Amino acid sequence: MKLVDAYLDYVLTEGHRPPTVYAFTKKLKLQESAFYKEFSSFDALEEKVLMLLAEEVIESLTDSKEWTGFSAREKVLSFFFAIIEKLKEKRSFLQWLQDQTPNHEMKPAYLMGFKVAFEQMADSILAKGMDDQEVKKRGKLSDKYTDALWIQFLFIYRFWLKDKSSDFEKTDEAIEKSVNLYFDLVGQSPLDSMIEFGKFLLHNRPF
Amino acid sequence: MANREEQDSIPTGKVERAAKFVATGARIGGNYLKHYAKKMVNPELSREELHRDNAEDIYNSLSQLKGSALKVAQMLSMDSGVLPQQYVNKFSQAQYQAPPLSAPLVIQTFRKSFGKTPSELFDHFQLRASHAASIGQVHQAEKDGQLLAVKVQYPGVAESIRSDLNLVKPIALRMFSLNEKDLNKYMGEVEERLMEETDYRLELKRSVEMSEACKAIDGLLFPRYYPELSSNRVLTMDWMSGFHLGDFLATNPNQETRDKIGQLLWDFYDFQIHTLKAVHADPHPGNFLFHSDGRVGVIDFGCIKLIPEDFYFDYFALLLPEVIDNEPLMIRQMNKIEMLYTHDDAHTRQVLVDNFIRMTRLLGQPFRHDTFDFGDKAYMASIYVMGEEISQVKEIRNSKESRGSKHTLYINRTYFGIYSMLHQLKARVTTGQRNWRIPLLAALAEE
Repeated sequence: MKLVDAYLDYVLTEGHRPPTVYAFTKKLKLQESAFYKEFSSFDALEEKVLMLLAEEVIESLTDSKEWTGFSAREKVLSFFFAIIEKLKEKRSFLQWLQDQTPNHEMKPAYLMGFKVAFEQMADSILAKGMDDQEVKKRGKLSDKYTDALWIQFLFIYRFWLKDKSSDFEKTDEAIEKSVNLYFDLVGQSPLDSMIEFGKFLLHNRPF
Repeated sequence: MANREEQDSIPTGKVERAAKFVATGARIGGNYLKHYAKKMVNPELSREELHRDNAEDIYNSLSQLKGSALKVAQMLSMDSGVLPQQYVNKFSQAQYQAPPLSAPLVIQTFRKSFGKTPSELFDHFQLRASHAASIGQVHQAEKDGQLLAVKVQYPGVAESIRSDLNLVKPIALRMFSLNEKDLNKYMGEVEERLMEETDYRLELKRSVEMSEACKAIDGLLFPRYYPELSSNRVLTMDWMSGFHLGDFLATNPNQETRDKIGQLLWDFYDFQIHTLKAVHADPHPGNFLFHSDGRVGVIDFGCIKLIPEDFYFDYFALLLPEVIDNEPLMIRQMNKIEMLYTHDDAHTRQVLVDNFIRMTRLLGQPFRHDTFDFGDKAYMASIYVMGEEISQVKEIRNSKESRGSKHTLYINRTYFGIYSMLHQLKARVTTGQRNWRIPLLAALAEE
């Protein structure tokens, strides 16, 4: 991970990427090929940093004592809290990365590897939630639950990058409130009951 | 699924309140929509109009709800000694309300405070809160065989109190028809106390000091506090047993026990006010735990009002019959505690003096007797009747100036709390002939 540390140090001190892989490795007194052995490009390196963070979080979460007893709602909450906590370690780097990204980009390149790990985790939590009836199956719509959670995560992530409250208390609140809303929406809702009732009336018209 | 259960178990009162908030939320959402729709047409539109719309909607529902804003309303109206009966129930329970913290957020709070999860810190930790506290929730835990109560604060409370107060300001201005400078005087005092309540480190320090200072009073029980298991948002103390007031009364305690408890509470507050000159200014029944043998556990020292020396002498002299029965002396004291101003015209002045004397006589009645029966329904009713009457006096209602020093806010609130608790207990208390009269009389004689 020497390359990763050196790269982070470079961009955070200089405020920009090294001009070329050649220049970067030269500074480290390494052959250019040493870089390519691990990463195909700077983009790949950045993506890898985030992916590793996600994997670490997921591992420590699923190992924790409370995890198995948690409902899907609580699992997603812990997942979000833990990710943000973990991302704190690399906040400056992430802020720098985000500064390079257009504001409404839904698929920032550096988050793509992270996204894969995130979605795997989300899929497994939601699938368990559906088995337990906590998350309502709604045909094709259910396929979009994970996407919706990712968009929500992007919102929290950007919120956190801009959060100026002490100890990022506001982000904690944002997570708590938005995840609760998410589960109120994907769970059994009044709308489901209304549709059910409507269907019933359609087939059993008393008049 | 546990979360569902949590919500199902919330009493209907809370559901209704939640519905109220949803309605407010929808209205505020509407206000925003309105704002942005107008803004598209007219980009110059200020946010002020939006805030005004929001403030009114929020206040309308807050006045039916609990909240820090309500606390202000409660104290402002209490200060004029006027508290119509219909508000009493609502006001006496005024507390900050927030949805319960999820288990993951509790764990997160611990991680931030201690770098450890609750299960690492305690032998056992109940992730579901056992009940709500004023600005947080209480969890039961166990360590080394000791049962503990762990209070965890909601995130962002300090901020939301501040924004609540800012929201309520313009409405309070109209409601109490005070001028802004005078309102700020009270609001500043309230904000200061509320902010102190959000600092659990301060609460820990004060709790330790207060329980140390009051431990000589026989029959009071204080929990031990654990600084190493506390932070600015987590406070750990012994789990206290005992009944809350309502449950205690349901056990039909005999008169002797009720008198004993009433006396204990009275002596406790007497000691704080006159000896420590620092008072637990939130004598809310939820902060006490009652035992059938007449002992009382005291929890929650979040709200402590320090009584300045000057104010102490000026204000408590009003309790002396020697002052109440002597009109010139009374007027002198009223000037000192900012009840009267030199620029008041003679008529207003007389109305204020008459009513204030009437009120002080009535409220001070327990101090004029050796023993006083707080169960006396007629007495409590007469307080409310007079409160109603005084609030109708147009000289008082129309006064744009505040009456009474800012320190009176919390002192009055304290007495209001004690009186209503003693009334519920129907306790007979030995109130008269206290030693604190001596220095007060001496100070009067000096002038």
